[in-house]
Amino acid sequence: MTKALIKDTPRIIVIGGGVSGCGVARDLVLRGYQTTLIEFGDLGSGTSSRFHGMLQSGARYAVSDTSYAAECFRERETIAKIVPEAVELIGGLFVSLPNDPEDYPEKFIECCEIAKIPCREIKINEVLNKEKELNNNILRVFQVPDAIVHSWKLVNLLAKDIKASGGEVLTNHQVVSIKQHNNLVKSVEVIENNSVKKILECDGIINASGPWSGKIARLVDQELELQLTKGTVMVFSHRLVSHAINRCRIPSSNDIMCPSGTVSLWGTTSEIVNDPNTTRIRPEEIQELLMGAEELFPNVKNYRSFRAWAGVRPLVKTKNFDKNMPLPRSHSVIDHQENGLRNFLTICGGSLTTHRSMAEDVVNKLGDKLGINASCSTDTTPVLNSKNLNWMPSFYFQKIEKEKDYYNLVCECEAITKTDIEELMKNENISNFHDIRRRIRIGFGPCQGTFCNSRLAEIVASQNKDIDIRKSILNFWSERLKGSIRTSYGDQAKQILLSDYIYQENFGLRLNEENSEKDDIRI
Amino acid sequence: MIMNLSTQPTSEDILKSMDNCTKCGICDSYCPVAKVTNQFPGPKYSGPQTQRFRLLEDLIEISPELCNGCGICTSVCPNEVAITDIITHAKSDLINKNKKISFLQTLLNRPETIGKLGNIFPTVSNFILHNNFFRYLANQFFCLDSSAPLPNFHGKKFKRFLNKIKIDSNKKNIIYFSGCAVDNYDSEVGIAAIKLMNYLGYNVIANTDSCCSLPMLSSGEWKAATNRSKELIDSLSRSLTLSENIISTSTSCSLTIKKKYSAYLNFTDSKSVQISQSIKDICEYILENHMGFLEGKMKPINKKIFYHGPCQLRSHGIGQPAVELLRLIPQISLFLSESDCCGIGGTFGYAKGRNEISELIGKSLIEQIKVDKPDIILCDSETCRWNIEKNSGIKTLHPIQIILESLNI
Amino acid sequence: MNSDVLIVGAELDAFIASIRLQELGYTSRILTNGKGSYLYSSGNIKVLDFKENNNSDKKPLFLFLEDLPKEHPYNLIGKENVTQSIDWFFNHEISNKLRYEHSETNLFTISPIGLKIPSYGLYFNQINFENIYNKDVTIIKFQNQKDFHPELIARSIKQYVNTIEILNIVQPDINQHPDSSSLALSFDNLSHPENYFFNINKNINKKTSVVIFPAVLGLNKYVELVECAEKTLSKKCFEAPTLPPSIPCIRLNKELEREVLKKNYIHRESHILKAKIENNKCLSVVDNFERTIKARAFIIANGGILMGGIKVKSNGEIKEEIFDSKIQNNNHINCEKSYETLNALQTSGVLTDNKLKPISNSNTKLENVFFTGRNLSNWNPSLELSGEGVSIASGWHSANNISSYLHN
Repeated sequence: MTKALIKDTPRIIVIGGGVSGCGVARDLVLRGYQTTLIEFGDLGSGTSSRFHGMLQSGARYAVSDTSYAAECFRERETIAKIVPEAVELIGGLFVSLPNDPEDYPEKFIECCEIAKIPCREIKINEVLNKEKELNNNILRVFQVPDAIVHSWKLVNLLAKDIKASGGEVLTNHQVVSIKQHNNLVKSVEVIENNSVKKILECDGIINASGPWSGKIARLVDQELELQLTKGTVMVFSHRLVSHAINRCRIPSSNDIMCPSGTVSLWGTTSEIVNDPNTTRIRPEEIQELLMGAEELFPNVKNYRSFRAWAGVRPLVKTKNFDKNMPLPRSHSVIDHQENGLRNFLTICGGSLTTHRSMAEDVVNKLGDKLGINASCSTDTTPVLNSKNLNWMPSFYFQKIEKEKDYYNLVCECEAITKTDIEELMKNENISNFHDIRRRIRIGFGPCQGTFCNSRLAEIVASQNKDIDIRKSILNFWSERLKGSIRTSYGDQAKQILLSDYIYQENFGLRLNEENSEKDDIRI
Repeated sequence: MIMNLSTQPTSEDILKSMDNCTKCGICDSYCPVAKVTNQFPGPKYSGPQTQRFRLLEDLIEISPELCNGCGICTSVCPNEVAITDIITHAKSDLINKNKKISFLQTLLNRPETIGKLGNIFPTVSNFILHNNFFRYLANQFFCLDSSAPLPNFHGKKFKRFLNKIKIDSNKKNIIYFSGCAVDNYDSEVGIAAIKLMNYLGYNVIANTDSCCSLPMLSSGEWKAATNRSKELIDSLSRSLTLSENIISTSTSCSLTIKKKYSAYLNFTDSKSVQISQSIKDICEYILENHMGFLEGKMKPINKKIFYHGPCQLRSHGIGQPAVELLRLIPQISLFLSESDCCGIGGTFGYAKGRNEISELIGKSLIEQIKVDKPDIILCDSETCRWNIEKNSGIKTLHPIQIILESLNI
Repeated sequence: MNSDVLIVGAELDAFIASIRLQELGYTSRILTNGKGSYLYSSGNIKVLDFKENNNSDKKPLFLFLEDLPKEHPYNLIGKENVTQSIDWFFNHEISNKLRYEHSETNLFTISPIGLKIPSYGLYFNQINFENIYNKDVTIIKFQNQKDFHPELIARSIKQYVNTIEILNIVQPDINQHPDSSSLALSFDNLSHPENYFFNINKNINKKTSVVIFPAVLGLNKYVELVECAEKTLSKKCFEAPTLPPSIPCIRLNKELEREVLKKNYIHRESHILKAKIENNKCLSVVDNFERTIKARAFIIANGGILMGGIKVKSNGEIKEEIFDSKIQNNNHINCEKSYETLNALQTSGVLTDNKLKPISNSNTKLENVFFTGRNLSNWNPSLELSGEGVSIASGWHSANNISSYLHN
């Protein structure tokens, strides 16, 4: 279905429904553009949801990239203000171990000050009293205002805001081709759920597809040199620390333990890959992560890790990049006009923390090109429907305790009830298990869908008579297993075998080579 | 976290064991409280499941209150989650943070004080305790349930017996931790223990007038329990110079000293560890050391005997030593209880409203007793004995009392 | 504390071994830290899957034993022994107590999602292909019951039945949890179950000839309750599986424990950490309280990886910690592909000889130690659907072997 182009309100298509794309689309909509956001799968299922969930203070990059660090801090404050519901203000600690460079802490304090990031040294005893898992050989500790962000919540709140302000959000739409004429992109052809084809006309395109940016750019014969780095994160089954714990050294792999909801995330590894779809985790990566974590947390190999995931970070290889230096972390707005396209922009690099300023920059650039003089208001406009309270991970649990609603539990690990699910299904008209899972955290806990899968299936089956329920159950389990099999030692090995037993026993589902999740396809 | 099992688990080990949970639900299936009331969500929920949320922030919760501390969940868990202990930790946290402890519970947590006071004039105390009008008042003002099973004050009976026994220098020493039940209410059990150990060739050195603090520990009043328990450890430690073995006739007391001081109060010093490894249940001790001697010396008992193993006995990890001893009695007519819990849960079933739950839990046990029609019921724990005797109407004794009878002592 | 045999673990194999040893005149002591994995089963005794899903095929299951690899527990134990053990189990007093109707061998039961699971003997009166074929069926569900899935069951049996209806009814006691165990107890507590069934009869379609209840019809009075239901409703009544732990298996557990406790002992919360060995013979085991428990022979029935009998370390290494036994194949489970890792988890176990004696990593063989059940290697309980069969056969076989050993 095509819309006639109206001269005064240009129609812009944003490709990529991660945090960057949603940020761009929201900025566009608030400035009055007609906006359509296109996402291949579900919002945030690319890179945005696959990291350690930190809304960082910027201190991590204070020494290596001070101006980027300053931007991070400004954005960290802004995000916490405009969408508090997706943020938990826990604070962060930078910890110096004996084998870390001795001169780094002083540089760190200096650079934090330059970047205007509040940084305060605190006594070791104080820290060790509170963070009992930490290695007690730490030398120095600094406190900074890191926070954590719930990326699924964030993208969904942004999307709701976009829709409420008149924009369009199309998930499960794949971009097939982009038509251009006279150095202008004219329309985008998409295919929905592998069946229905559509042509969307446009006055401009912003390519915010993260590691797939190169692929999208090639659709318009544009070359985009990206460095794709795969990073793996391990999930530990309870909140081990109350702050985000960072290594006080030049940013590298195995640096961060970040609490996130009821779990703790440790990461990441760093491996250059060619394919943005690479989510396969090698067993060696897990061993590498464990060894790195052991330096900060001596007992880490005894903890239960119930999942690992991998995501691919895109960094732009700028024109004259030095192979020996790490690529700059700050984002790049790439104007393809130099290569012949006048209304195609790519925004890439940066991080989740800076997604809003990334959006601001690229939409400013677009405005310049189209001669539109609308100014950005995303930094001061609260995201619609974001509750004013910060994210409370125990929110669902407290609700159940208050109402003694024990009967209704579907996902016991994350305290989700039948009512929560039915409400979600009704409000958002979804019955795909994965969509439900991402929005409400079913199957996110240590049991990884052992029991909740079939309870969810019962609810969906009673409402949706046509769905192939056996396939849904199998897909859900298979997807959960893909992540949990990577950390299948200790208690998780028992959990996986228990899952397997239940699926075989109660549903006759037996995983084999053909019906298992392919490691390299993301859901 | 894989619990460090080669030493005594401490608080940290207990709480981290929440990670071992695979949500299998076996604990919920065997929980006697969850089976009879929908007010308690079950051990899986109150224990490892909520523990993950307790780490996030201070929770407002009520579910731990209804756990009766029987420990059955922990004994059926195939994954070594210390479920009961996690819930008891939560009870203690709630008391420390905001909840006040009830007056009744404060009283019940000090049984040796009640015992001392009541035993000044035991006849009067017994009259009051078993008088309907007093029970009605107690129900209204102190929330002591009118149906709760209360024992009788025995005055100084046990003390007087102790004063009469003579030390024989040819005999080995053994320490007997009597506990407040024997000191004040159940003197016959204490007397039986001493007679039996004398028969087996021991001088019994009784360590009296101390409470193991289990009621305080189970209800979460841990600050008060710490000092008392330290004193008890010191006192028992001094006794160890006289003998390296300590016995107890209460499976609850011996369990507390064996495991709970480390699990709840983090007593990991060498003195406490030594005591925890030295104390044994009396049947456990006799079985390990004198079974051969007793074989053949027991005479038949012409009574139908029903044995109920108290729930904390499981947590000792020693099976049912009383049953093994009883089976030495020739042609014994022995019926084994098939219930996991008699319902009383230590001091749990004394509060108004809770007694109802206790009775529902104990229903199947009473039904089995009605079918088996025993002459005597045996149980190694005092509050269980009082509870079973009250609800079945059949005399309930400690196993060693029948063993004495069988030895004609 | 003296017993002839120590059994570490409370799996089905442990109880079978203890009961068989008692028959042969030996006492045993079961040392366990918790209940066994058979409580996760839906209640069927599965011996082996069929080669083809042919519902009219009534050939005895064991025709296919030779197709299994020669190191498979069934082949180690020997076809004759396996057959004997299964027959022994099904003719035992315990089985007779739990069986409502006489059941034939080689029947298929229906799992909620449709795979016809073959089972040797329809053990617990569960719905199977034969008893619902072409019938008009009503599936009962209790309000708020979260671990029973009638919609899923309905979808899977749709193709075999004439009509299906799902009926939501009030549970026997509204003051209880609507979970399996509480429901089962509340059925036991009904003083007049016929009144309860009479009341629900009003809502059941007259056309229905088969009523399917969730498997919660009583913990102790199961047989009486089913009889009462069938009499009052004048319809055939069966049970369908709930999520674990399943009540049929809790019933089985009760009977097994009762039988064992007649003359033997069970230590709960017993964590066995290591063994004392001298001259290729195990003398005793040591628990976490440093207590030593002696015996003349030992059976290690503590459930393999699923129940912690075999541990998986964080580097993927697999270890049996009490005796440090040799693990089959590569004792690492980390494979590139997720599917292969799952397979490695399912099949990893201890290497044993035909008598089920393990080989240690120092290549010595212990003469009085036997491994059973999920501890064994070269079988995949998931893919083969042979969980209970291997448990029963290995428990029985190890008991027989111990008897010969102790006799000599």
